[in-house]
Amino acid sequence: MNDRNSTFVILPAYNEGQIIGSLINKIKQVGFSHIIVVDDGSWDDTYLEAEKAGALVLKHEVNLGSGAATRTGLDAAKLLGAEIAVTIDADGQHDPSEISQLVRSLRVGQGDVVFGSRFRKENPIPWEKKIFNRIANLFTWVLSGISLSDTQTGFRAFNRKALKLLEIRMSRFEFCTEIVCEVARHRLRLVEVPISVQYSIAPKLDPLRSGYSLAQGVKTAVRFLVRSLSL
Amino acid sequence: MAIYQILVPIISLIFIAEAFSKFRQGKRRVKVFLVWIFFWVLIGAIALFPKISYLIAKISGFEDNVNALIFTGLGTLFYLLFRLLLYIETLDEKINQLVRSKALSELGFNGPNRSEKPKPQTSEN
Repeated sequence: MNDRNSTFVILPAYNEGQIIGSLINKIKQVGFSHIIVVDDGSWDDTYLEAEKAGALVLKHEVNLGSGAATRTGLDAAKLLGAEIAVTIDADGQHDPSEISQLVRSLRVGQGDVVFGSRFRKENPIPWEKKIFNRIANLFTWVLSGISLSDTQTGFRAFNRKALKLLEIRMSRFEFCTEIVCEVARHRLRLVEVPISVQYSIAPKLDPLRSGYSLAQGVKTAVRFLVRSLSL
Repeated sequence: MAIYQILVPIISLIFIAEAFSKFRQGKRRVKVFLVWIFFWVLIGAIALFPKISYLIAKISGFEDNVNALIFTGLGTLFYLLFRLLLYIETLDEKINQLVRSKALSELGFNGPNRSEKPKPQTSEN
């Protein structure tokens, strides 16, 4: 089966009405037409713009967080028979032309899960994000035993085996650590590939993208531990 | 008899009566009702018979009865707070499941027996 016909690209989105349309078009231009947008309770026109651009749009009636939106997207891809599912941030920070790199790594059997790493390439990354990521990587390594350069990336790919086995239960940023713990639990193969990143000049302050402050990082770690005990 | 030994038991009785009333009206669950009753009976009892605090100190291993009460109280509060956090997380997960199920129902699957898959509603290049 043609790679691109069985590959679904998932965009968890919150208030990305200004950019989602053009991002979907860019993804189509690089040859991926199965696009699922999960509108995570946006109050702008994200849903309409994504639908206009030709994506399959699913809507959360209230904002649940990037983890929940990713879960919904991956569940939808599974139900629709995806062989590969790729998640990509809806704010345009990732380059759609690099989707093929992640998919190729899965196709050649390098891994079951591929993480696009912002830190394996020269990228203009704000210092506070670097610090937060280092702490998150350390926290994830302690819990999972897997050492990665970028555990908080939103650019990931999963093959069918990983889609079937991974169970994401956490809703906000703590799900990034949970994915790695699930990979360790199911002994899946995880590889990192270098990706480019471009941050907007005025980052929005919204739940999907405010996780990089130190206070949010501590809150995320505490929430991960509490949820691990309750679920 | 000190004035707190009159006031505190009266306040305890008022809260106990209120708890009974809410329980009979079905506004309070058994577990919460029992914990509430136990708490106010203990407060009233300690006010009437302060030697109970020495008994708590002896059981818990504290030398001083005031420390025993403070640390026992704090420990109980932290435990209850933790249980509350776990309950909130459970509720949060249930809300998540509801919202996500509704979103996925837009794919057109009919309930748990999802034998038939609809075609993806995307435009092909």
